[in-house]
Amino acid sequence: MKFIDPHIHMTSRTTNDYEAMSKAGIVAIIEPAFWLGQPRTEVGSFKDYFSSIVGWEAFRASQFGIKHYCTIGLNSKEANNESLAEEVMELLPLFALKDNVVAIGEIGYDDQTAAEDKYFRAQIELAKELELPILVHTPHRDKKKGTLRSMDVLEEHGIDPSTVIIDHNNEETVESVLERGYWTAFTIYPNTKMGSERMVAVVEKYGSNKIFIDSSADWGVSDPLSVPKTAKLMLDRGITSEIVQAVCYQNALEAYAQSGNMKERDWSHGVRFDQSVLYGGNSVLRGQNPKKSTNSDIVDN
Amino acid sequence: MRLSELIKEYCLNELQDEKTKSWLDQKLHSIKTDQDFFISFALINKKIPRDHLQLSPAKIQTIHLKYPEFNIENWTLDQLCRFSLLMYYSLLSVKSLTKLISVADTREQISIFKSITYLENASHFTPIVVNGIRTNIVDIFDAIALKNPFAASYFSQDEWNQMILKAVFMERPIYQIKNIDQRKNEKLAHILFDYARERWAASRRVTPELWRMISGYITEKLFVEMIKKIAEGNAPDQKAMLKLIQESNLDAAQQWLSSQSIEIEPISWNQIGSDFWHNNQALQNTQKLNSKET
Repeated sequence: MKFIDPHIHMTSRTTNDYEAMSKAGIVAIIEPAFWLGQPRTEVGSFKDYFSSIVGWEAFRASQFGIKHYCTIGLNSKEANNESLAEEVMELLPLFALKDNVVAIGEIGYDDQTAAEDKYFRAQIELAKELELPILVHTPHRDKKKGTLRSMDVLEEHGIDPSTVIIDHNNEETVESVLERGYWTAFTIYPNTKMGSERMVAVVEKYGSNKIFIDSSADWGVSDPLSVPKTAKLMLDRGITSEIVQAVCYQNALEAYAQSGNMKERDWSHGVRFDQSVLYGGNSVLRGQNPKKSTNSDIVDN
Repeated sequence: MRLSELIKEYCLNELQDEKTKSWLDQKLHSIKTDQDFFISFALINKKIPRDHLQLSPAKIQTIHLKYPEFNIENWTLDQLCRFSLLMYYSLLSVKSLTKLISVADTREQISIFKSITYLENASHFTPIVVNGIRTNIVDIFDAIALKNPFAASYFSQDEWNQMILKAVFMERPIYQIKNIDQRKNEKLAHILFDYARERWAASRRVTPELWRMISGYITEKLFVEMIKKIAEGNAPDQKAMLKLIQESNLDAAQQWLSSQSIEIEPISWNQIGSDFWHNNQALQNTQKLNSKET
């Protein structure tokens, strides 16, 4: 089975992760622009970060046969530094138009402050102007209210819910998000947010319509294989492969294909990569033999 | 007609959609600020198809006769539109191009580096291109190093040598580097011979194209070292080393050659490079196929 991980921060991950992901059948990934675990203090740090996720990281992924996309946005935490936020807002249009950008995101609320609200709205307008989907990060604290508020604001700006992905849902938020017609994404974290077991129950209850899962693996304790592992658990529990395929591949593709930048043919005939000509060269492989991927086995949960 | 005008005309002719055509035409003549230039440059992603141009042989001929260095077959429509934007933006400075590159994705950087050589005052942009060579992204490196006359025209000897050494290190097709023989130099020959020693110490091969850069600078000491390796090498290596020996004025080399009863087929350096490159590519494709089957 082939998988898409539509939310993963690869700049924080190692080539071991890429190898394991490729081996587990992940063919495409989306890297939402996020914070780095500590706040940035200069606009140049944002510029170089955006530059790396539209260029270098995509190249790094391609060396493992994985197609890499990203989303561009000012995250809610760092929106609270208003003078810096203004400068970042000026940069966004330059990066949001790039080749592998599939949405404006991840944006939304963290502490639900006035500054967060201001830049959430400004970026909704940017997405409208550039005709890009929106990826919404729902807050860790006061989650339910933050999620409802995010949807209210989106609708206030006249956004069509079918062009928005609401991420990091849980049992408390899923119903209202689905009801209002949004793509409903779940992050499978080993300890917090959603576990694989809980996810199986969600899919058993709500089916696969508009639902998909991701790992959101980053610099914290997280698992870049949580999509294929959860897929395996679903299959073991008797969920049909059609539903697993929808939740772990097809729905994410449909949601982000609306950008015009994500197409199955980007990876269906193999991602163009040159790692075997680079084995002695200046690549991330540094003299190792190129790894040949097989899709036969998934690492056990 | 200037090259930029000719390319603009080709681009506009090629665009089917009237709205896109007038957008491009208007942008080429109206951009007055860096921000407008950056956004327009980025918008090419969304607006312009990535096909090669459908040009008649007569049109290709026209451009080859006037601008023999410009191989329009190597450009896609979106790249040529970006080329035109760069040519027509009258306020393009080293500062604005540096900023443009700092916010450019891979595809944009490729277009920029392919175009720079045709800018007026191209030499002013040399530091940008020298910095571009530091990339780890192969396609960007290739856009500068291969089929592009810029480096040979404007790089200092050290900059040139760094590029060639990196191209050898990254196993790029050296024969596709423009004016490679004209810029050979003794310093480079010694750097490359040192590189060969490192590779040999690690029981690894060097590209046969390396000997093209050393030919003419071989010393007796280096010759003795090299000749020990000739028996170990396979056919492409031997062909290249023999060609170097043939071209050498060194007494030791000529004596060695006459002591051997070898018949040397005439072959050009470009042929040696192209044979090696295509055989390697074919080998990799087979490996990729095999790995898919397992």
